[in-house]
Amino acid sequence: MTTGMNKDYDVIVIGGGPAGYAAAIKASQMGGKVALIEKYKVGGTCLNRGCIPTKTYIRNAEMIGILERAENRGIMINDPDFNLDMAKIIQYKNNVVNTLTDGVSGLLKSYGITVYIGQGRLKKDKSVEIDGKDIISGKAVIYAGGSKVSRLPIKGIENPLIMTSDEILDLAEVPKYLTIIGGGVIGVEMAEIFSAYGSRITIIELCDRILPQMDKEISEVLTKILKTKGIRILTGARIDKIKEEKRGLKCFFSDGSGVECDRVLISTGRIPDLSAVGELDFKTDKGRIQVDAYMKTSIEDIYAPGDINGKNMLAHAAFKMGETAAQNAMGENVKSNLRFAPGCVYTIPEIGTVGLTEEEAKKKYDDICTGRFNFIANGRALSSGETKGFVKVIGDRKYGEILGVHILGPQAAEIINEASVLMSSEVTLEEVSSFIHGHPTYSESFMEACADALGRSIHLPKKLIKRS
Amino acid sequence: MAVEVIMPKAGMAMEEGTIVKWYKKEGDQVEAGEALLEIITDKVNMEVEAEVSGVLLKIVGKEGQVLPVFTPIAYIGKEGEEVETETTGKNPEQPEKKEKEELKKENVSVSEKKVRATPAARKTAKESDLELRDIKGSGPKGRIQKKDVLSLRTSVNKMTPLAEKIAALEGVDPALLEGSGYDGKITKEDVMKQIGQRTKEKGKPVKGKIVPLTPMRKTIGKRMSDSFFTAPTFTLNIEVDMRKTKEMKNTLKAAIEEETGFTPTITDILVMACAKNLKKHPAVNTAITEEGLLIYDDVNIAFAVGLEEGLFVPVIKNADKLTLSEIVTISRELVSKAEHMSLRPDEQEGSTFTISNLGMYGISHFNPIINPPNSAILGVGAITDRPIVRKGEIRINPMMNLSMTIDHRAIDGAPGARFMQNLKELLEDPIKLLT
Ligand SMILES: Cc1cc2nc3c(=O)[nH]c(=O)nc-3n(C[C@H](O)[C@H](O)[C@H](O)COP(=O)(O)OP(=O)(O)OC[C@H]3O[C@@H](n4cnc5c(N)ncnc54)[C@H](O)[C@@H]3O)c2cc1C
Repeated sequence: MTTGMNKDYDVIVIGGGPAGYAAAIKASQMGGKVALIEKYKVGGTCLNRGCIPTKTYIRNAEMIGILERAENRGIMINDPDFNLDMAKIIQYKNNVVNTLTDGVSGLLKSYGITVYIGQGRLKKDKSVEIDGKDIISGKAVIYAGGSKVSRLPIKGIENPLIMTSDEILDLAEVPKYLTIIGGGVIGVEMAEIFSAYGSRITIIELCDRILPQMDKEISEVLTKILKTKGIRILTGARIDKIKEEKRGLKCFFSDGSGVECDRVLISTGRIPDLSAVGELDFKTDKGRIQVDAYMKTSIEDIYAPGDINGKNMLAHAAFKMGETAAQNAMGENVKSNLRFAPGCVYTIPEIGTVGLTEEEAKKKYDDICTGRFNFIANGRALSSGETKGFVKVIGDRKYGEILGVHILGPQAAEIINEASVLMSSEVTLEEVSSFIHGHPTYSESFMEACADALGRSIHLPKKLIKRS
Repeated sequence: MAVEVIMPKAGMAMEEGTIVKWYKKEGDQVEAGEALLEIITDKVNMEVEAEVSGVLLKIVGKEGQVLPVFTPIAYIGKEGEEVETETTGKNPEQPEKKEKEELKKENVSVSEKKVRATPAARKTAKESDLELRDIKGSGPKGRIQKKDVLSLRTSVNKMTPLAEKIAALEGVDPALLEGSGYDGKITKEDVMKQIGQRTKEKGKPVKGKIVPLTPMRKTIGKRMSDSFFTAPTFTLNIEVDMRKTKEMKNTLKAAIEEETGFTPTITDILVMACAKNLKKHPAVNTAITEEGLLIYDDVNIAFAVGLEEGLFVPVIKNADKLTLSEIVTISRELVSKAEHMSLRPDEQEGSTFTISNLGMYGISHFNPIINPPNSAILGVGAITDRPIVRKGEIRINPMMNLSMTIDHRAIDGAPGARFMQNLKELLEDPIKLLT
């Protein structure tokens, strides 16, 4: 590591998460001299505390589910008891994380990108101070500081028994009773994981349904599925206060009633990490650094891709925005179009969605059509015993444009990529239903749902009433 | 030195050409091979390209002009360079020689390159990865022009299926579209932009900002258009001499102020006069209902109060039974409530007749729209001193116009006119209000 040197870079990237490392690599591919500053470990939230560790745990939950259902299919396990070695579970997860973060380090190295481990702070004239000592300067800065957990002003929230997604991933002891405040993506994924690990879960959600941003039917069907797993879901409920009592924690609603538990997980959202803003005065909106489609901030030559701008707080959106920022920092003039960025939730079964929800589509288009195919009618799903869920397709009747696809079911997070690609390519409903899909596959359901939107699915009963 | 651009001789038989359209304007930077303008000969449309790079200094050939071949039509040179234009009418110099040169050039291009194409077409084809051999030229002798390349480019798989479908349904010519998608692919957005432009060209929207309609605005809008579009109306106008009413108002002023704390207005007296008069003319105090014509027993007079927030029409109930002081008190109370947005629904319902006074704005007369379910509304204009003739003499008296809009389904012209006539009499001799 170099110290005290003032180097001139084409691009300085702050943050080594998906947005930052993608930006650094892209800028380097385009011939730029690049430095990347990361205060913790490259890979960011996604690799260290987000997507990857949670998906490692979700796989455990799936395997537990498979073990539990094996007997149904005639696979008799002699001693059906199994228990979890949490130390090993955490170790396994850490190995996965380290493999990937080492991979990212290796990539950065292969491109000759200088990586500084330290706290970056922006200064005027596109220079960045590292750990209050070294200053490096560049022609452009890509500020990809990402996001951190937001803590609601709930009374008693400082209690160490209350965790965020950061701490719960290293929790060595599975809580008997776990209350999850916030029924968004992170909340429901953690509910699945810890429910499988043996916790009794209560999810408390302020809105009238879990996953309130998603298409309503997705929320409704998921709610039913989670309930059959014994997960308690309280919606339209607000926790005011959490108190430690003899038997553990108690979360109080405004009416004085409460829920008792051993541990609480706060998953009420994430806010930008503005620790590198320093003396600069960015235009912000609710704490998010404002950028245009070119990822330009209000300050010239500073770009802000990823979670920090709040446009779409997902890793793949961060990759795209990071690349766009790098291209523009290196003199190109390209936009990030996030319209067809899918959103995935790794529940069991999982969720994949892209485009407009039915409610949004109704507002924007005069005449929409919807198609639906339930996995229970899909051969692969039935053979696998993964029959819960559906594919729902929303289209514009006039031009046949696919406006939104919402999948709850097996491999939804994989199938949704097909929908996203087709929507980005502006393939119409008519065409999708004419493409050949392998059989038996889960993704046939998507094709059938497109056909259903036109009233011509082969594997659904004849429509009695012709859709008008 | 500036280089001339001439009307080309595009074929042995061509003698003159018409300038269809200039693609460039004076001052534009042009590249050698770039299309400058389109001309039309007796046979074909073709593009004329710049032979050299530089600034298009001057355009002498105007769109629509028919010019003999070899006539200079523009000049290209260095920025700021002066151009010595030839005076028109002078014979183009040595056409024969140029013609020969041109012919020679053409022959060379044929023998060397086989495919005839303009340099601009070649450039575009190369950029678009298209083979010239695949393109059908629309220029003279099948020469390929830039637009031929462009139209092929769009037709070769460079549109998304959705864009193609929308373009077909909406009748948009893909050749006009510039693709914004990957590698110039035409997307829905590009087609929609073209459709947007088309509609814009039809009528450019006038700039302004949209203020969302308040629920009140919507209600007013709905009530008024319901009224306007269901009731066949006509309006009766009459001029009233207000000298005596004004005198009466002044006489009573002090007493009423003492009693009520409010100053009486002409509107108050009008409410009283109308109320009395409606009692005598029940035909005007009516409503059309599903069952038939409803002739009201009560006389409830609504009066319009225009405020920033919208239009309120509070109702003075049983106005025929009220003294002037009572009318003054009740109406001030209602106005004050309207101003504080605290009118109760029942205070705005049950009217049988409406008065709308715009006199304070200097309006001389206007056509009010009926306030349903009423059958008539009285519009009151400003009182202004005007010369009138009384007993052969010119006098200057305070005059006022009254206009009553009537629903012809309920009220005929004659009863309406009689109402107005009597109202005029009452106001011109307000002592009659006591009867
Ligand atoms: C529990 C959880 C599960 C998730 N699951 C998914 C999922 O399944 N799929 C998905 O798409 N997304 C998921 N996400 C979201 C995803 O992690 C983020 O969208 C993504 O990481 C954003 O990338 P980023 O580069 O913008 O920010 P981050 O990944 O947050 O990276 C920012 C980096 O900048 C560094 N940094 C910040 N400030 C400074 C500074 N001053 N100096 C130096 N370095 C600094 C941070 O240390 C961090 O490494 C999940 C998130 C969480 C919390």
